[in-house]
Amino acid sequence: MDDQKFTTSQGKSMMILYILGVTLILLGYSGANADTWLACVISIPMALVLVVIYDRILKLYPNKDIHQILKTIYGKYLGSITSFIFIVFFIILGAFVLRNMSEYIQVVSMENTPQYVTVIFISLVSLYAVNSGMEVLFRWAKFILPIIIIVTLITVLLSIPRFNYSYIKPVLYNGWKPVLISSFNILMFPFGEVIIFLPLLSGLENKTDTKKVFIHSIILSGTLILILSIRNILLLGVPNLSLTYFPSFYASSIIKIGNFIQRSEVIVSINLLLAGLSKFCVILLAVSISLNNLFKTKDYRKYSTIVCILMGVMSLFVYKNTMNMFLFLKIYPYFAAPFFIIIPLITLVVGGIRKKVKKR
Amino acid sequence: MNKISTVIVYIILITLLTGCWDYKELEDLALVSGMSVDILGEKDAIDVTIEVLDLGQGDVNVKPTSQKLESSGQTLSDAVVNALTISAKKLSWSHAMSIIVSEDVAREGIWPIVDWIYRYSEPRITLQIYISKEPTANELLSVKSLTTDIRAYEIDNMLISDKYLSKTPELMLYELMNELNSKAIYPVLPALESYISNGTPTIALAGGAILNGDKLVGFLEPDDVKYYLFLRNKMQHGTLIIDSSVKDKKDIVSLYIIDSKTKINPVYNDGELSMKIDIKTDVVISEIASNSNYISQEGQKILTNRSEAFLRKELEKVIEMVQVDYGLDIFGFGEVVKDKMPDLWREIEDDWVSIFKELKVDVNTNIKIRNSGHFKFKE
Repeated sequence: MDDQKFTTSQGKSMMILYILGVTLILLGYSGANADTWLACVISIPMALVLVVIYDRILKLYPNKDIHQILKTIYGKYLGSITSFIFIVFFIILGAFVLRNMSEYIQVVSMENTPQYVTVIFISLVSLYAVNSGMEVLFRWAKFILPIIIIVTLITVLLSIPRFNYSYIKPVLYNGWKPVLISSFNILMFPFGEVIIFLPLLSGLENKTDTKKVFIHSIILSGTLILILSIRNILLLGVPNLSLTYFPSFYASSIIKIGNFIQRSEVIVSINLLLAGLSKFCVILLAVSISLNNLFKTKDYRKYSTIVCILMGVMSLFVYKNTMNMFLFLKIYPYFAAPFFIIIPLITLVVGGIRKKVKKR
Repeated sequence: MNKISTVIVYIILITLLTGCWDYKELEDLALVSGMSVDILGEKDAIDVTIEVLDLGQGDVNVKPTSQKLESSGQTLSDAVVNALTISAKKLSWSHAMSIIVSEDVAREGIWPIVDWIYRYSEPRITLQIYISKEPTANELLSVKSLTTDIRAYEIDNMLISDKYLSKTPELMLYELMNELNSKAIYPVLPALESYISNGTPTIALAGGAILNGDKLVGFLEPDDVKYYLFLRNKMQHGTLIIDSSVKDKKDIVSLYIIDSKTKINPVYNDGELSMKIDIKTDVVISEIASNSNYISQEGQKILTNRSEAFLRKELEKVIEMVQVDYGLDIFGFGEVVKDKMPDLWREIEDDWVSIFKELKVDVNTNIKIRNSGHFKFKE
């Protein structure tokens, strides 16, 4: 299909949006407290290693998509099962993302609106975007990303007068252990989640650019996340950071310059909706395309509606309430680690050996 | 078929998407500007007075005024909800600026109030909690305002203007939250009292209220708060009065502080901790009630020396007073130790209260007289 192509820069924009996604509001939950920024710094190189692994898997068989690669590596049945496990995981991930957004909207602004209403509207918009084709979606990403970056940086600039530098000191008061744990958390959420781009990158116009797309977007989004986490620490300080549910929201609510620049937390919510929406679109698209490739049908649009409904309904059940959502965020990295680290590593090793054996 | 479905979609959109569950009309909202929290009657009931903006209707030049709603309940959130029994409109807390807490409530602990504000999505975490020095907080909110008609906003503006005076500690809710959860510092909230100005009763900022944990333990006088702000490096502007009168010879110089920087460093020698405090202050001479010449070369030197000695003496006095009377580290010396000597802090963290009581301080003041206003000296 012709409308399933996107350029390198569009791919980068989409990946950055995807990483920022719900991270913009959930940032700061890690146990490292005042050293969260250090955890961010450590997790960026780790994420770079991770994406190089993903890239290598794609490069094993340059002309095949990820599901065909899995099939050639593990054989027909085991390969299909692996693909299927990943698809199920992504559906759950989509439900989580949707729930994060609807939960944020309910807690922060619309208390009386039932969550299914927000979920219905978010998923309808995403469904429309996904059905318009990959090209449209990725172009939209390139258009929307500068807005998000500029708005975010403006909130950082405006908050400089209220920075309290004593909040960030002393560095490493609680030692390295919490920092390392939380850098692992940040590695799994959001950086590890870029694995979802594996089925999508077959639509890249210039196939050799996959590594560039991965590495550039990790560095840029990592820098943004770092800046934001520093802003949150300097504005809020430690107990606030660990006790509130949505630190970014509270941090931007403190911004006040004179009597006219204030109440800028709305900006954070708009950012969330734009970035979160694109994150959900990517997940929906990736799952639909994967199902399409797995079952060897012609059009992924056959699956998008049903997958969207599935995620929407699941999002209402995945957590009991807000408290449980945040409790789960602590376990999530361990839940995701097999999918983001272990299976890809095994795949790369097995694939590499197979290729060498075949050559001989 | 296609046309019919389009029409149906339009009808659905028009009827369903014109509002939402949480729509709020300004006319249906009562904007809250502030609240006072008391225990008036029964021991287990909390009484609140909520100040609500009355925007007025019709005229072009309406001046917003305020109304007060009184209600009570078993807990704070209960009392706030009960206010709806007398209010026709839903209360909107997003513009609330000040919460005045009475002494009784503060002595029992202000944590429930902080907790309620943090949990409830509407109030902002930049609002300010005040402690009433009068028997009730209610009476402070009830007296008429002098300059504006909205009591709670006027208090907030008074606090903003206080930076030219520096006699009141400012501590927004989120900062209070950080200090409440720290062992290295104890919070000081602004205090309020009633005051009669030109025959009209009104309210005045009255120094600070010291909290131990979330419980009120005592008050700081406005003049002591000035030196407290020096030590917290929050001093912006204010006056220093250098009184060197002898018997019937009046000799008073007022200095106005333009800028001040405080650096505190912990010194650890032979197992004993002490604090080295360096204060650099820029002042201008704002008033001279004396016959001595302070403008000349030697006069300037004498004035500088005197003011440095005066500031040092006052700072030491306030530190000693706090150490002896309260024994609570309101100056944040613990934070300095934690920042500069984290290993030492880990050891002494639990004994900090007793260490602070015996803590030695070494105050160095450095005052620079920038100018003497527009005026030289009467020969």
